[in-house]
Amino acid sequence: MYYLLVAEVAKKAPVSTFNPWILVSIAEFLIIVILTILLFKKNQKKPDEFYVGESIKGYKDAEIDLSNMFNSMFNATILHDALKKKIHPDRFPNDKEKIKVANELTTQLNENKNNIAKMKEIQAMATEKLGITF
Amino acid sequence: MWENIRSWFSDIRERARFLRDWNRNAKDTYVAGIIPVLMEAKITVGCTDFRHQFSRWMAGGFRVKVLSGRAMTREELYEIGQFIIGDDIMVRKLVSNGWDTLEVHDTAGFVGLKWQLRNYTISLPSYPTPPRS
Repeated sequence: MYYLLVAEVAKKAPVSTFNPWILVSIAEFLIIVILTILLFKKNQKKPDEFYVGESIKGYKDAEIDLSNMFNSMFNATILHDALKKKIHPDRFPNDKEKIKVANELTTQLNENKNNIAKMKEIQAMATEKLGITF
Repeated sequence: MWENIRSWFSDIRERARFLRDWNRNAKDTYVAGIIPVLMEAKITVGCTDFRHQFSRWMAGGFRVKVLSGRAMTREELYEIGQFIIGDDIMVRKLVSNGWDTLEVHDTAGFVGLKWQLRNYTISLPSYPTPPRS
């Protein structure tokens, strides 16, 4: 008896065809569309605009030679001391050309005393231009 | 909001990549016998007095741990730190990635040294720009 009553009440109750979750899904869809538009709009450049990020991209991606730095930490001082004595301009008192080269190399050596890769280049140049053997 | 989330993840990835590159290179050079000690870098809280506007909160310290086998002297630690802060690109990368303090210490001693990275970057000149005529 009770079940019959419930069934009759259920038949008489108005059936709602509107689903409120549709509104939620529409709102979500709109948010996604707006965010997508904003994302692509930001990448569009006007003719007179530029982005700093692009101009410094090469600098940002520049890799630091870490192995050279680690090598320099422990071995640069030894090579620097050896080079400093060998390429000193006072060692070539009679040759003006060599004095000029030695001055230039000494300046470079002082600028790169923490960089062993550069110092090896200086060493090679000293061997070639000044005829020094290490 | 969207941009903030993107940039946050990008920064995290860049810091992790930098740290990974550092540790891998240190390990490779140590294994190859080029350097006599093994070094390891990790992120620490850093020194609050050394903070700058781009510091990462609670993660501004770049600590280099040196597996020395003995207590290193202050001069030896200082020399290692000087080689790091002497590299301009390295300091710029550290500062831009949110680090503000460089710390160097060994595994045996009780002395560690720290540097304020902001002092070793090239900033604007002290005099103001002349006004446009």
